[in-house]
Amino acid sequence: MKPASPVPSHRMLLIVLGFVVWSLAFVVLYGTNAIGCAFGWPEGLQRNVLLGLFALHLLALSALGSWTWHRWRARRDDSTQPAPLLEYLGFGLTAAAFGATALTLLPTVLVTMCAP
Amino acid sequence: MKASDEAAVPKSAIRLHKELDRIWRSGRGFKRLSAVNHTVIGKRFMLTAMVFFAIGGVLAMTLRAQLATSQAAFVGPEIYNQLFSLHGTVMMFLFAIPMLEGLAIYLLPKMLGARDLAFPRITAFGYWCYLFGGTIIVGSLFFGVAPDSGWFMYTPLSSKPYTPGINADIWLLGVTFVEISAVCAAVEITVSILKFRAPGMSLEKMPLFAWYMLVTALMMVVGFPPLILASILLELERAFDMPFFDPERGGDPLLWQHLFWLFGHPEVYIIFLPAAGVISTLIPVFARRPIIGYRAIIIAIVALAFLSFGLWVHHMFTVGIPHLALAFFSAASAVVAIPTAVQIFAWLATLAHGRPQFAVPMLYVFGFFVVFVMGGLTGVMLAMVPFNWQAHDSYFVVAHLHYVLVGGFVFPLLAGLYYWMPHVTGRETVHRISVPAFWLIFVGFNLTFFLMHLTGLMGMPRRIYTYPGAFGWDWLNLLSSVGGFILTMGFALVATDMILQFRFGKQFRRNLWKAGTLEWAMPTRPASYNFASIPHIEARADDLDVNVLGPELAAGKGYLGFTREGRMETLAVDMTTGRAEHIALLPNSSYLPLVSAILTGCAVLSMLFGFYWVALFFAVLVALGFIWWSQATPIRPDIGLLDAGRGLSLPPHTEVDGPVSWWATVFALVCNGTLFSSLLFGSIYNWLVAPNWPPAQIVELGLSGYFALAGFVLVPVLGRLIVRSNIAGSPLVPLGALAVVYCAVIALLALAIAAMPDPTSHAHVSTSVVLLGYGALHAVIGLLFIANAVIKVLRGFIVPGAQLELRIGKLWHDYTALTGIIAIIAVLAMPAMIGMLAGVR
Repeated sequence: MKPASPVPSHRMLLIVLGFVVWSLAFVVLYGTNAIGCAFGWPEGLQRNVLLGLFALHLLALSALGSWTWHRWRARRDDSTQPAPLLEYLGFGLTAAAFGATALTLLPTVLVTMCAP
Repeated sequence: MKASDEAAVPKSAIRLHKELDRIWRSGRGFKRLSAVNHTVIGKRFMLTAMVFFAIGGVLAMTLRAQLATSQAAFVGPEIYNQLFSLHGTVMMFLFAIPMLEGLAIYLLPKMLGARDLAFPRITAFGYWCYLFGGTIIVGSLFFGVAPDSGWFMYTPLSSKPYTPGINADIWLLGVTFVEISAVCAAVEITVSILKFRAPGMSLEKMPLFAWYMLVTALMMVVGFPPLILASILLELERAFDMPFFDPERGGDPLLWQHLFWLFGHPEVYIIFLPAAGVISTLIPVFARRPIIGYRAIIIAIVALAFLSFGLWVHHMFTVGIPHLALAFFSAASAVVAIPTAVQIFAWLATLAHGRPQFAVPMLYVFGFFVVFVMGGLTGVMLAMVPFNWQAHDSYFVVAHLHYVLVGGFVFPLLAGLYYWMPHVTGRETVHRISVPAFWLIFVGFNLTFFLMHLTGLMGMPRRIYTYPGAFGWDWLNLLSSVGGFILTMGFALVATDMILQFRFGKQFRRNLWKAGTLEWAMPTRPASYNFASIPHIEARADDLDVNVLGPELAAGKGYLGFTREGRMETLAVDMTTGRAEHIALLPNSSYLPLVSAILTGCAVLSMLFGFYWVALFFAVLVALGFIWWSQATPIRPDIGLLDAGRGLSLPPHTEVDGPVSWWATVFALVCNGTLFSSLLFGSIYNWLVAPNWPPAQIVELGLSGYFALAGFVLVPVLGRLIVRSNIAGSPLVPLGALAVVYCAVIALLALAIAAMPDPTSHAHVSTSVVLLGYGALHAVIGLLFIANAVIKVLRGFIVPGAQLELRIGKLWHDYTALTGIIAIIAVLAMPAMIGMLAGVR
C-alpha cells in the first residue's frame, strides 16, 4: 500500500472554513431578519436576537482564528513537513472572514429593522 | 498488487513523437467530429465563442444605430426588445463563459504538465451542447421569436400571460442546455486542477492561473444551479401552469429575481477571475520578475469568491426589501472592493519592481487597469443604496456594467489572445496592425460607454427603443453610437490581425515571450499529446527554466516517456503534495459525445414545441447512451502496478481509492445539492413572503409518503452492503435488493403526488410536487447506476480489487437518500408551517 499523504486532502478545508462561517452568519442574520419582519417581532426583540447571533459568529471566527494561527505557527517551525501553505491560507482567510463579518453585518447595531 | 509491466524501452525523440501522436491525435475529415482532445476542443470553444461575440457585436451595432438619434424608426419596439435581450444573452452565456472555459480547456493541461483533462469525452459533449444550445438561441432571431424579456428574463414579463409565444421558452431551454456544458466544464476543470498535475507540483507550486481557474470552477459548481432551478421552475409554470412566480396563486415574481441574481452576481466574478488569472500570468512575464504577493492573491481570490455570493440583492435595491437587509448587501458590495484592490496593488507592485516591457499584450493590460478600475469605482457608487435608487435602471448602470465586464474580461482576454495566440499558431503577431487595433478599441470603448454615465445621470432609462428629442440626450447618444462603430472597427482589425498571423506571421519554435510556465516548454504548435514525457516540478510552476526543461521532456526524460499498448496515459497526483499517485488511462476519440449531444438537443427541441412524450423518449435515449459510454471503455480489472518512468511504479486509476471520476461525482453532487438547497429556499421564500397564503387546500402526505421515507432510509444501508458484498464475493444480490427498494420508492412517491390537490391551484402544491418529483427522479437515476454496475459485474469488470463504479454508486445512493428524506420531511412540515402563518397573515 502507498503511504498516506503527509498533507491529507481534507486539510484543504482550512481554506474555506472562515468564509463558510461568514456565509452562515450572513444567511442566518438575513433569514432571521426576514422571519422577524414577516411575523411582526418587536424591533427591540429582533435587534437583540440579531446582535446575539452576530456576536456568536464573531466568537466562532475568533476561536477558529486562534486555532488556525496556532496550527500555522506549529507547522511553520517543523522543517520535516512540507511548506504549510494551507495553514497560512487557513489563518489568513479566517482573519479576512472575521473582518468581512464585522463589516457586512455591522448595520445590525444601527439600522431600522423592517422599514421597506 | 501484481506488477504487470510490458512498458518502456527508451526510444528516439522522433520515434516517440510519432508513436504518441498516432495514439493521441484526432482524426481528419469526417472523423474530426469524434475529436475529444483538449487542444482541439479548447480551440473549438474559443473560436465558436468569438463567432457568437461577433453576432452579439452586430446586435449591439443595430441597437446603437437605433439610438443614435431621437425618434428613430430603424427598428420597432418588438424587434428592439429581441435585439437587446439577445445581445445580453449572447455576450454572457454564449461568449464570456464559453470563452473562459475554452481558454481553460486549452491551457490548463499544458500549464500543469498533463496530457489532457480528466474527462475528454465530457469535454467534447460539453462543446456540442454549447454549440447546439447557442444555435437554438441565436437561430430564433431569424424566425422572429428570439427572447424579448431581457437577458435576466424577469417574471411576470416572461410569464405566459405576458409572453405567450415561445420566445421565453427558447431562452429558458436554450440557456439550460448551454448551462449543462458549463457545469460539465466546471466539474472537469476542478478535478483536473486538483489531480492532473505534474509530479512535484504541490499546491504552493501551482501557477496562479490554476488557482484562479480552480476558484472560478468551484464558483460555477455552486453558482449555476440556482439559475438552472429557476429556469426549470419557470418552464414548468409556462408549460404546465404550475405556479411558482404567480402572485395570484401563492408564488412571487421576486423569487425569480432572487434565484437569478444568486447566479447572476457571482457570474460577474466568474467572468472576472479567469481574466484576472490572465493578468497575473502576463504581468510577471513582461515585468521580468516573479509576481509579488502570491499568497495574498490566493487569499484575495478565495475571499472574493465567497463575498460575491453575498451581493445578489444589490440588483434588487428598489424592490422593497427591509432596511437592514439592504444595509447587509450594501456593506458586502462595498467590502468586495478590498480583495479586488489587493490584486490590483499586487500587479502594480510587480510592475513597479520589475523592468516592464511594453509588448502588445501589455497595451491591453494597461487598458484593463484604466477601464476596470473606473468600473469598480462606479460599482462602489452603485453599492450605496441612496445613489442606487437614483441611478437604478438608467444608462448609468449600462455604463457601469460595460466598464466592469469589458474592462474586467474583454481587455484581459485580448491581452491573453495576443500572448497565447502564437502558442496556437506557432507564429508571431503582425505588430503593425495590433497597435492601432488597440487604440481603436480603447478610444471607441471609452467614447461609447463613458458618455452613457452622463445620459444615465440625465435620466435616460435602459431598454427604451427610442426617446424624445427634448431631453438633451441626442448628442450624447450620437457620440456613443459613433464610439460604438469605432470600437467595432478595432475588433475587426484584431480579427484581421489574427487571420494574418495564421498566414504571414513569422514562425518560432519555443517560448516566444521568455515565460516561466510549462505551456511554453513544448514546441509550438503544440503536439496532440502535449508532452512527450511529463516533468517533475521542483520550483514554483510560473518560474521554471522552460528552455532547459522543454528539450529534456521532448527527449522522453520525464515520466511516461514511452507508449504502452496504444493507451492514452497521463499521471494523477496527490491533491496537496503533488506526489505521483496513479496512472490515469483516458478514453480516445469517439462519436458518442456528439450523438449524446444531438439526442439531448432533440429532447430540448421537443420540449420547446410541447412534444413532452417525445422529449421523454429522447431523455431515455440520452440516459441509455451514458450507460453505453461507461460500457464502451472497459479497463481490465487486474492490471496491477505499471511502470511510470524514472524508476516509479504506479497503479492504474481503476485500482485506487480516489481517482478523478470519484472526485468528479463528489463535485457534481455538490452542484446538485446547491440546486436542491435553492429549491428548499424557494419553498420557504414563497411561504414566508409571497401573497395569497395560506392556500385553500393543504397537502397532507398519506401512508405512501411515510413508506417512501422508510425506503429512502434503507437506500444507504444497501449501498454500503453492495460494496462489502463485492469484497466478499458478488454484489448482485444487494444490487437487486436496492433496485427493488428504488422501484418501491418511485411507485410510492407517484402515489403521493397523484393524491395531492391540483398542482396548478397554488404554489404550495406545485412546490410539494417538485420536491417529491426530485426524490423520484434521483431514484430513477439510481436504477441506472445499478443497471450499469450489474452489466459490469456480469462482464467481469467489477471485481474485489476494482470496484470504482460501486463506490461512485454509493455516493449517489447516499445523496439520493439524504435529499429524498429532506424533501419528504419538508412536505410533511409544510402544513404546520402554514398553521404558523395563520395568526399573522
